[in-house]
Amino acid sequence: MAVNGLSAEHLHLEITESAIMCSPEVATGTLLALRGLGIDVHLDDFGTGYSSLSYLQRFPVDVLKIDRSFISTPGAGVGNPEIVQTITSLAQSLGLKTTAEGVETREQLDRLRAMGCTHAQGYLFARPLTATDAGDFIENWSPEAMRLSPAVASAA
Amino acid sequence: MSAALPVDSQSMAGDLPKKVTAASTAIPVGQRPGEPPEPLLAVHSRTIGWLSTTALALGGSNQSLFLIGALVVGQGSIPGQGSAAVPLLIIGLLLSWAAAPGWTELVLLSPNRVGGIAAACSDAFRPYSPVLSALTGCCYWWGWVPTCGLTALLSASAIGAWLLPSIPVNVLAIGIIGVFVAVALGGMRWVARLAIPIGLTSGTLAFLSALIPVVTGHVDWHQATTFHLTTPFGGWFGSLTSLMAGLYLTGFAAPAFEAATCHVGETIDPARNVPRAVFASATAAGLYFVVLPVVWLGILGPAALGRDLAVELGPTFAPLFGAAAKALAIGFMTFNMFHGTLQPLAGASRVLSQLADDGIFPRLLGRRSKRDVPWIATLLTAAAAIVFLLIGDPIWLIAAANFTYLIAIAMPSVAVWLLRRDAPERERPYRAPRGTIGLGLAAAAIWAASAVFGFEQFGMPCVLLGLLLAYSGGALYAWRKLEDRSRGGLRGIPQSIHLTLTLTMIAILVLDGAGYLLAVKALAHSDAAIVAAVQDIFVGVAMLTIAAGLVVPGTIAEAATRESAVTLRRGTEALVSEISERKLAEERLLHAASHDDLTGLANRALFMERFSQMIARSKRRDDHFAAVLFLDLDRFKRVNDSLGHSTGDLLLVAVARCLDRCLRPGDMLARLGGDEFTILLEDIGAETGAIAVAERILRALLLPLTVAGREMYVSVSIGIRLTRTGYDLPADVVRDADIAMYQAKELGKGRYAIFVPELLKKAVNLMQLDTDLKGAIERSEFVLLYQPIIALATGELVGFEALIRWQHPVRGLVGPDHFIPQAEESGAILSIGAWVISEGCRQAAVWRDGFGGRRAPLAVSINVSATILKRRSAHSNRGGDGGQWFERRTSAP
Repeated sequence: MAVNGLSAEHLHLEITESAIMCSPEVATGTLLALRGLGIDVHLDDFGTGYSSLSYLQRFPVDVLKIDRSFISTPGAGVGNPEIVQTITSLAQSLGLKTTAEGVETREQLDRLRAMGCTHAQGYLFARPLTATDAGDFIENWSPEAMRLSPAVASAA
Repeated sequence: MSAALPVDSQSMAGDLPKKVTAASTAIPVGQRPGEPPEPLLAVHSRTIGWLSTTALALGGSNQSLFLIGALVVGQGSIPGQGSAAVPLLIIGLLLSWAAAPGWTELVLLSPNRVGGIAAACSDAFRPYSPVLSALTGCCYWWGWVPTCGLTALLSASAIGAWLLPSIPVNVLAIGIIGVFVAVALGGMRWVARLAIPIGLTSGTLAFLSALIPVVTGHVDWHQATTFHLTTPFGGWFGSLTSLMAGLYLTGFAAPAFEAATCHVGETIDPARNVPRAVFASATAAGLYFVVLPVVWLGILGPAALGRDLAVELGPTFAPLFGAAAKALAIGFMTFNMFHGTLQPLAGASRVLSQLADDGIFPRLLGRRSKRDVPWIATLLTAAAAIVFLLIGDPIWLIAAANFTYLIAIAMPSVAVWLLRRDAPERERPYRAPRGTIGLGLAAAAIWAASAVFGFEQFGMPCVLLGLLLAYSGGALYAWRKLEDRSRGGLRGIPQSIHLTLTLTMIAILVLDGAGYLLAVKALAHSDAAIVAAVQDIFVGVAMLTIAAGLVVPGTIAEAATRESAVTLRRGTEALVSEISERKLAEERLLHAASHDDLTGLANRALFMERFSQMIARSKRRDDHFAAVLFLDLDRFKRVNDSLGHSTGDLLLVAVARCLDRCLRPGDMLARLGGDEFTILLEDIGAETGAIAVAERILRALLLPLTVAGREMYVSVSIGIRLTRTGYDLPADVVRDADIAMYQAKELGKGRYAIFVPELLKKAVNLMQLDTDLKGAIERSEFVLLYQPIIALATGELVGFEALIRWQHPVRGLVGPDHFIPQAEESGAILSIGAWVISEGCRQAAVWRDGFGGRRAPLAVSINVSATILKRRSAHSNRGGDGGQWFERRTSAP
């Protein structure tokens, strides 16, 4: 960050739930330190581990990332809406944001928005892109694009 | 503990005493009194009974024929004792009888020995001086050799005068010896076959020669019972000298029955038959030494007994046999003398062989023929006997032989006493009646005194020859010692205290002899009494010299040897204890180097060594399996982290104990380090054997271990590697077991996994991955891909999640699932993480600069591994630059 003269808002760190649970005290200290630097902390793969809700309250995290396994389904809808709903409700009540991973269909997107999920990523918007392609994506992206069909929106 | 010490303490314990033993046998400490005798080399076949033994012993009774002549009349210059010979003979017989029980006890102490009383002494005298045994044996033999020659001469002259006057007597005598040598070489069985008829004939004739005159009333009893002593000169000293000379000669009464002890090892049931033969011989000796002289004196008068008995004894048979009397007298003499020739060839020769067997006389003398005959000793006896018969003058020869013989019969009485004192616990098949040991000692003392005072009465040649014969035992002993030294690889003569003292004593003897000669020459013909006194002094000094020259040096040398043996033993013990201590220290060091301090188990080095040894030891056998179990505690780190290292250590000790209990005695358990253990199972039948052990361990660990007062549950993951002994390298086997252990961990811990080659392949791949990962950053093989994150409320692009990919030169684009776990394990994650952050930041900066003005700032989300989190925490705990990756720029825009 120093080398690039980057401010903290440009960097988020994603940490898996199991990584924190492995040694909660250590993780908490580290996360607090990161928080102190102004870096947002995302809790990755939320729901797949065995985190205790009481820990979650104490963890200085900003975003819960809802694991793709709760979203994806052979059909078009959300795979496990009850869990997703629970997570988003929990996040809302704790004042945390949520990012749904692996969003592939419009239907999922709509459902997630209805459930109160704040952010999403997935093939619906784009596959992982090279830096160059990502630059193009930034260039071309308009908030209205998410109302386009996924096939057109995908730049990959 | 299953793991045994590599230092074989048993072999150490085995080696040292061996050395000590070697050292103690190298010292000729001889035998301590009371120790059992050394096992005899020769065990003889027992072929003769008491009758044969008694018949052979009659060969000693013929000595009476010499004695009567010598005692009663004397020949040449030797003064006789006149009719006083009869009480002297009785005294001689009583002395022998007094010593006889002790002798019987002595010979039966060694029931396998032959050679009679003289050879039986070797046990008793060895601790004091082996030379004493040599002296006794040699003196005994020399006592018998003239008998052999002279009896042959007497029987030859009787036969020659009667039947073969044309053949020289000497030739005839040598012929007789030759015949008896042939019989003796035929073995004891043939000797016995010949001795019995000879004994019966001569005994019968002796009995008749006494009985006939008594019955027919021809005995002039007055002639036999009027005693008068012929003295060489007047005064009490003359009488004493004469009596001592007579007493000296009557020592020859002993052979009449000590000869019965010469064949103990060849006698059937010796404990019964030897005493019986001694008793029978002693009875016969009464006839020969008392009855016959009295009767003969009564019928023939003293003068006739000094002449040829083959001629003179005729009148004793005449009243009954008339004209045949002369023939019977000659027959009596002939048969009686046959006996005297046969006995030394059979009996005395065995003394030489026995003492050769006992390590005292030269080995040569112990050589035995197939018929168990000491043929060299027999031939030597015959040859010496022939020399004596050729020399011919009987009286001074008898006297010289008698000198040695008195020593030979005095010493066994001392030997019995010594063995009673020093070896009371030894088994005694015959125990001499109470008091007879003392009687034997008294007889021995009288014999010794008579040797001193009587010996010199028979003249200068007799004294010199007697001393020479006696000392020959020392020469034979020296021969044997040199022979032993030479066999032991030693050359030359040892500079021993014994030898020095002996040589000194011989020098004294020579000086004494020279003084004696000078004195006698100066005194010649002046005063017979003074000459006799000087002679007595010389013989006394000579006797003392023998005692001092042989016994004292031997005793001193023995004491010195024993003392030095004690010193040596002490020194050796000190040395042994020092060596033991050093060995112990060495062992401790070795143990420390080869064992784990904490658990006391073998460490990796020792485990590998033992494993290698096992492989080297075992043959390649396809049906023979060994197995290595590699164990690793599950989640041990958590114990260390949460409860502290000391508890962790205690847990390891408890686990080690638990594991040890699960093993068979021959299995080896080692701690490789940390929470890793290995087990070597030798000789397991097949896979199932190793699995059984693994399951036993897993089951045992289901129960809690008590550590520092608290109960703890632990589990282990076990990798099993089977190996057919002789096929695999130890290091490979352990590595494979390790790989299998990882497999068990992957499969969920608390279980075992058996190594299969695929696991190795997998492990190799992982290794390759490790290697590749290490260089991947330098080669810029990692790339970040970015997946946009959209805010659902507005549809705005808020940032990207950075996702790492590895552009592998061979495998193509590799996802994080395939290398991140491995990178976390190897630690490569740290540098990868650093690269990801810096690359993510760089990209964020690019976008900020590129689009910053046109839109809201874009964030890059970077995945951080738990390892990095912890590492960072460790840095900050140390107060280091914990924010090395995340340092906020103070002048942030």
